[in-house]
Amino acid sequence: MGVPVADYHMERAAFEALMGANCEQRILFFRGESGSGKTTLLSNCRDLVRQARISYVNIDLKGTGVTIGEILSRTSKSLPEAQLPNLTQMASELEGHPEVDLENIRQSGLGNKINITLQVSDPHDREQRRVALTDALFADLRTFTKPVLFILDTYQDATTEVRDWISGPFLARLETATPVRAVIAGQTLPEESNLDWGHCCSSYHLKGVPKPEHWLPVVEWMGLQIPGSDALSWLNPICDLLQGRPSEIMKYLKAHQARSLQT
Amino acid sequence: MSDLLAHLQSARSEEEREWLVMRFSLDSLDPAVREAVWAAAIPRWFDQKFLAALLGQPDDASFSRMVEKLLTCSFVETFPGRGYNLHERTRALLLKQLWEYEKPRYRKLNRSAADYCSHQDASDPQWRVAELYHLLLADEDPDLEQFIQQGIEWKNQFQYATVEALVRPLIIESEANRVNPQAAAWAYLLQGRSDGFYSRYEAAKSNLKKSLDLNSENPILRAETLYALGNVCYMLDEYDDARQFLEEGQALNQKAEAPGGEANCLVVLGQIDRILRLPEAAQEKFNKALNLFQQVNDKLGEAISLNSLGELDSALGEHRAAIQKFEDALQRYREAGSSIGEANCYLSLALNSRLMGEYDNSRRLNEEALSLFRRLDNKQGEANSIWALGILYKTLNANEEAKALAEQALVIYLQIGDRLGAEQSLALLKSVSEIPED
Repeated sequence: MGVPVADYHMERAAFEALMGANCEQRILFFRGESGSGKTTLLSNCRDLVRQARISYVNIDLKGTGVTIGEILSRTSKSLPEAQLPNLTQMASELEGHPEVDLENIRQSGLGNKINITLQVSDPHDREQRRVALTDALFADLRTFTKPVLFILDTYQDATTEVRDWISGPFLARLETATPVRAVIAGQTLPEESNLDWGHCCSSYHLKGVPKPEHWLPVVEWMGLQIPGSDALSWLNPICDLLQGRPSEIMKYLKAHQARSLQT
Repeated sequence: MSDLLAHLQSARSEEEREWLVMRFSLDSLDPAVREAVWAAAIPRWFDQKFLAALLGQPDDASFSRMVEKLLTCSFVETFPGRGYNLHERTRALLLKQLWEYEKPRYRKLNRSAADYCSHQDASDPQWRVAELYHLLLADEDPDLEQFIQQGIEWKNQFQYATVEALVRPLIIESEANRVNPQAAAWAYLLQGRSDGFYSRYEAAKSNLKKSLDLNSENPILRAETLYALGNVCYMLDEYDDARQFLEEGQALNQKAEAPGGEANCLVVLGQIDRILRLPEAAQEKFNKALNLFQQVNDKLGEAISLNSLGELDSALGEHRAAIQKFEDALQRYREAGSSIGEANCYLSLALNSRLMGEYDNSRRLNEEALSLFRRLDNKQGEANSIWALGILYKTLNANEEAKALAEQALVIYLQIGDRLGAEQSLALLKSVSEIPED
């Protein structure tokens, strides 16, 4: 279990609803500036998913190094391969195509097949292969009897190709695949007025946690030694001066903790 | 502590407050951990080995203990598949401090990072991206050649995701004025080309204009950027602007004795003339481009020029002349190894043969195109060929065959999400369903 989340009760409630069997708003967006606590919130969400024993695929798009092949490949690794017959078959069919470069095969398995099938130089061809693999994946996901969740973090760092794929083929197919849910976090996010999937999307803007009482569980969890007896009075100017920005408040609290331990 | 609160209260900006908290945090750390935090701000991700190399320290048990402490800092995050990174805002603050107050240390750390990255897995493009990033930041006047060549190589291989991985971090550094302006201009050009590839023309225009603004000295870079800008404006139907950029680009290429670059500008200028119904002007430009491409033995360029000349003849109803041009283009596409170009030429030849009443020939050429597109597993081309065959059968009043082909094409168009193709197929289907067979 990671650091408890200060506040964001509404966001956490929306996430818990996402795990319900009859959830209607199956796409959840967390939008927030750098330092607004998105990653901590998502970490907390992952703990909830694990506790609920729900299948999930966790992808951090940080650093522009994640490709669509990588996302599909990690999906195949996170979900049981036996439950992905269409994706497995499509990857094998495309892999066997003579135009595909079969050099540099260093791994085996479905994940690698997917990466190989997307290693073609013609962009039009690559696009068609992506669509074929996405269709195959969702044909499999539609047969799941329990919810399956995609958690995508740091959307703003994704390459244009990945962003176009998420906001296009991925979310459009998710709209008709009832077992599938997605939570996407980032400083920028797909346009939620999208005609294909916008109606099943809830969006939350993370604006920080300025109320000191919301930091009390964190202070308690850290075992902080507070000067004086009133933790709220101590937290009040910190939250106020740091404008409720979780990354800065946490930095302050951790430094305070380190200094307390030194003295 | 109360001192810090007093300082925070008197701080004049959010950034100043953030720095005060950062300094408070750094001061609370062991000196070795503090030193490691400064070094960890340099790369976009790090692991223990990378950090040891940056600090010039042995990666031993004592270093491991120090790294364990570093990882407990609230601003250290997991970087999937690579190790760790400093939180974006923290890293930005530290880099700014290093740049403003300790530039030699900033440069030295970047040199060490570049050296470390250059010895990692050469088949992983992310290491190459990191190496080039640090090389460009390590010197005030860096050697740009490696960066430019690598960017162009990935662009030519349509590896635009890797191009973006290369240039985006440099653009961020450029916004903080930490990159040589020429390097930044190349980064904006490559980003603009990538935006254009993904049909994000407004973003492309903005990035290409930034490249023009930053580049004051390199005529080749300027000519490249003008060509790209002209292309983007052409795609946006902004023909006056497109013409202005392309004409300047053409002139610069001519002056620099770069026939390939000049020819590229001429092809797009010719397309604009064709759209504006100036066929003679278009023909002159395509012919000139063809000559220039021949000078540098650019077979693909020759094929594109010949294909453009063929389309011009075809639109003017000069089908015999068009066929000659498409046959020449077909040959050049073969020599250039462009199978897609070859297949599209077969389609153009089939169309012009049909319009001349040479139906058997048209069918043969259409079938060549279809077979080639199928071999390439190109669904769009396959659907286009099937639809064109349907039109041919309709012309021959073989409505049942035409109907079956229209249905086949429709299925593929719907599969690949080509709405225009689907509408064309439906129109064909409707037309052959309504006409009774003779």
